[in-house]
Amino acid sequence: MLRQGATRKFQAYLLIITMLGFGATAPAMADLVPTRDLVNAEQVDAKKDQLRSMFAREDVRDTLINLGVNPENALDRVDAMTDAEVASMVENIEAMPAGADALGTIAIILVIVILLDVAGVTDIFPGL
Amino acid sequence: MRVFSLVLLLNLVACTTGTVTRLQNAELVEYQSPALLTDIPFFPQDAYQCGPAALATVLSASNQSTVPDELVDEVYVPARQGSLQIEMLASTRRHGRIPYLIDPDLASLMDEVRNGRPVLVLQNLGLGWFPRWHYAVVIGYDLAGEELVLHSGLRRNYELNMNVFERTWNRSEHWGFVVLTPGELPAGVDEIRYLEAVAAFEPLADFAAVEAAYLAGIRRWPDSFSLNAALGNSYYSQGMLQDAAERFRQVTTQHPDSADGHNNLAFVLSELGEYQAAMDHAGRAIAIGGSRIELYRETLRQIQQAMTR
Repeated sequence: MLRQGATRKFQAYLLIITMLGFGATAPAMADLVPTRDLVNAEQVDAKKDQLRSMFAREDVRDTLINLGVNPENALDRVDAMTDAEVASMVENIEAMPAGADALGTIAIILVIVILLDVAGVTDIFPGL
Repeated sequence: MRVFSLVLLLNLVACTTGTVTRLQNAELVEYQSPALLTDIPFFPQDAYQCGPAALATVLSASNQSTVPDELVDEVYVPARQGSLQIEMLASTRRHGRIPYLIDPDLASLMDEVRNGRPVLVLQNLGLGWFPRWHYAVVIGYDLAGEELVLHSGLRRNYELNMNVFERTWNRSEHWGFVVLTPGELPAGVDEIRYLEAVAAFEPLADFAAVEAAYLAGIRRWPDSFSLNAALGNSYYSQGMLQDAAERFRQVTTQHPDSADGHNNLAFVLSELGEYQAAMDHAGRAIAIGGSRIELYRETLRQIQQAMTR
């Protein structure tokens, strides 16, 4: 798996070199203004953007795998995200809420009981 | 220490701003009659699986039959013991449905339910400093009784006080989405957010579904520059040059000052061999200018090259 990651990184670097070289010798290609830019007046450097997105996707895939997601599924999961979603995952996946369940109810009750105890309303834990 | 704890305790019980009273009078009248969606499937789920369960609920309600177990591999993050919002949206797209984020308020939520669509919401059942993030599906409301009805965790048709719901929902910044079958529009719909939702869906979807989704938006906003142009781009990517040209022609007629529209029309006309018309539109794009003028100049150069070939 590590090896596969390394290969992909290598391919990405190769692509950068190719693109940089290409960019130096040939003019930009004529093209349609892509849908992504239709609502955005700013000109974006498509090549730079594509590269950034590629690395970001790689990043998110690795992060998901580190968080226990099956490597076989990680790529498909990243592929279903938009560039903007990938970018925000890179930026703050750690801080993102992960909707789980109400299983923590018991913990909440425990906290409240402790607070009540500390406040002197109850005396379930005589030491507090 | 005791005083501090008491303050905390008071915080726990004293947050009683009335949600219902904060609704405008007009809204109180509008949502007067209660609504309940009775045919929404329910997948009781515990053990951290409320993400897959809630998602299976809204997908099944949209006739995309699935079960939570099938979705675990698409949204569950083991180390976080839960599912992330972005992945809930991404997974929806993988099932041929378009996730659309609703406006972050109770009226918009009730609007969707009243129109027959359950809303998947993220709540924090705990506190800001002690979060218990939880996905549930809102399937009904009763303003007079100040209650919402949810499929939530192990509870089917769970009747929850609106004020309590509002506090738990507020902590997720009122995050919620509906699931659209391509061709359907949500009840409250924002043009640009809709375009973004369809564009995000496009790379994963059949072309027929994408076309249906754009056309639904165009029926709602016939003059929309971005929806028409986006559909033109989709036709082009399918090699449907005539359809693309027709869309871009319409865009440039409706929005003669759009340089992007002229550029895209010029590009497609050139591929169709209509060089003179292509040159004209590329010229218009350059004359109008803007941040993408280099791209327009490139389009013109390419047309000139093609002509002399």
